[in-house]
Amino acid sequence: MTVIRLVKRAKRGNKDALLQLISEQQDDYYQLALKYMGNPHDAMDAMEEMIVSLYRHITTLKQNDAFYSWSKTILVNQCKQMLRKKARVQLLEEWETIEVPSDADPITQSEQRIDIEEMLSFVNVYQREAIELKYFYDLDYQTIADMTDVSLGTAKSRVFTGLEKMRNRYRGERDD
Amino acid sequence: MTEIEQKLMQEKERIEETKAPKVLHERLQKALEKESKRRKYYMPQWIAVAAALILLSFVGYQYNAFAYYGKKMLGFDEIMPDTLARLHEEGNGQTLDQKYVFTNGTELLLEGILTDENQFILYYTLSNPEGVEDDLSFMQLKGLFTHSIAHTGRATMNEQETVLKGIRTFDPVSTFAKKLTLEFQGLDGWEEITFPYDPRAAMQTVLKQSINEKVLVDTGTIQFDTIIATPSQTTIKGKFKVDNYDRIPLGFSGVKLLANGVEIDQMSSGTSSAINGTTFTIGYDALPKDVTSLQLVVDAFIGYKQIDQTITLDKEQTIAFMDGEELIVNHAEITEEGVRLTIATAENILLDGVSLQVEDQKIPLQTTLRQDYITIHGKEYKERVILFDGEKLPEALVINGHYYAKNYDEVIDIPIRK
Repeated sequence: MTVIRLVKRAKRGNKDALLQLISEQQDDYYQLALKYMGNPHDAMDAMEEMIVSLYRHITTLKQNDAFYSWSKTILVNQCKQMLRKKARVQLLEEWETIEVPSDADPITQSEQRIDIEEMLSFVNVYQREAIELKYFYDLDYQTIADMTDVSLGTAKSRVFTGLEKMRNRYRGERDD
Repeated sequence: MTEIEQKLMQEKERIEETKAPKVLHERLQKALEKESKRRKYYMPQWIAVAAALILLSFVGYQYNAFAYYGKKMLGFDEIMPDTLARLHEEGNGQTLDQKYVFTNGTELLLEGILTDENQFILYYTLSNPEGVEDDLSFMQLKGLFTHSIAHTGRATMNEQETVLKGIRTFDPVSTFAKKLTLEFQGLDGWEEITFPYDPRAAMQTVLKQSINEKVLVDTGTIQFDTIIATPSQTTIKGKFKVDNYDRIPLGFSGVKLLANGVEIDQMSSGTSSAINGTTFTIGYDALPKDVTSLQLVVDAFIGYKQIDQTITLDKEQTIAFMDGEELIVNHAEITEEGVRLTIATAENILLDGVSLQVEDQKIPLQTTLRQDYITIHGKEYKERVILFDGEKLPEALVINGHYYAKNYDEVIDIPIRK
């Protein structure tokens, strides 16, 4: 069944249709939730909250074909809300000082991963989030803008400026 | 592709290898199961109503109830409440047969209406062989002295999703209106259909009289003004001034209407604030045909009880009773923001004047962090996490009083003047 048909059914309160919609991209949702929550337990909690919220609010979704970007935006908002609750005052500014996640285990982490972490540490936390959403999670700029609560232009410029910074630094390191 | 982009791509591939745990599907399913089924009632579309209806209150509906009904409408059984089904059976509606075709081919057919002094009910069908997108959004009905806002509705769709049958209620329309214009959401913007209306086809009001009775409750008064009983509904209207009325979810659901000693189902209740106070409207089902006695019973309404209770917190979990109402207090924990306490009570309990006792000092409640509904031994509780300033474990929890669903059992007899 097509996405639009499933969305229509879900809008009429059909729980199975909603579940099927989520199942079809279950891994994508999970990977996104894991990015924000950091562990499987919290990631699954966030997804539970998300599906309940989707069920309650799906009638407000105007374009049926936008279901996936809409629901992922809700997931990201859900994650952020949970993180805020968990660590109330962990301001983004504070995050910036954290270079690499402290729980990164050097033995299981591949070289390549460290590379990426290093590269991403050159950009600020907003640019990093936008770049990750764009390149790792395949989201379009409009969805990224919605998720991060900024304008389309800002979302684009975060990605471009961030990439530019990474390029410069990367090149710089090599040249040094 | 630049080297950076290549690295990003590789990382993406790595992330994509992460698979969701097997239990996830089941957890999502369970989370959804807990959600009660979404009702087909839509929320009323509250929109500010201009006070243009005053004039109308002097003019009653003095028309004979005549059967105006020719064609029988099919397919509405599933969504029609019993009372409406009976009225249709008796032939009380007006057929409309007004059509509107949207640019995407969907056809809107206004099939018929059923009207009286309490409400205006519209029966409509949306059809499109290519599939019907969604139910319509209705705004209002306009006409001479008429500005009727759309309220609740129900709809049902066939399996093929090509035909949708719906019922929508509106505020009653004026007896002067001979033409009505229906405003609804089109594909791009609001659209309208104007159709002739015969006010004489409205069903006659069964009973309309004033009540003028006051009921004192702990934190204010409720004034019952009027009762209007029509074949489709019975409406009680009045004003009230009750402090913290909306702090517990009870509302007016504990106000009962008895006809011949039998309770009439409550269908809706709503409040709205105006300059001269807050008014309320309670809608009940239609009265039975041979009413000999009518009573309004304020069975339950918000109440307040001063208790000034100190609950010692020396255990992992303390269960206290505040004047018979259970209060579960879980261990206090010290967090960065202050002292957190998890408490649970019945749904309709709201604590007032809450503070912690720490070394002879009283620390007032700062805020409520969250609220959940939980079930313990088959009983439903409202659990909340409350936060206080400070960094020391409290000795006791002090509560000045609580709001609750109080049984008043105030009975108002409404003498029937016919």
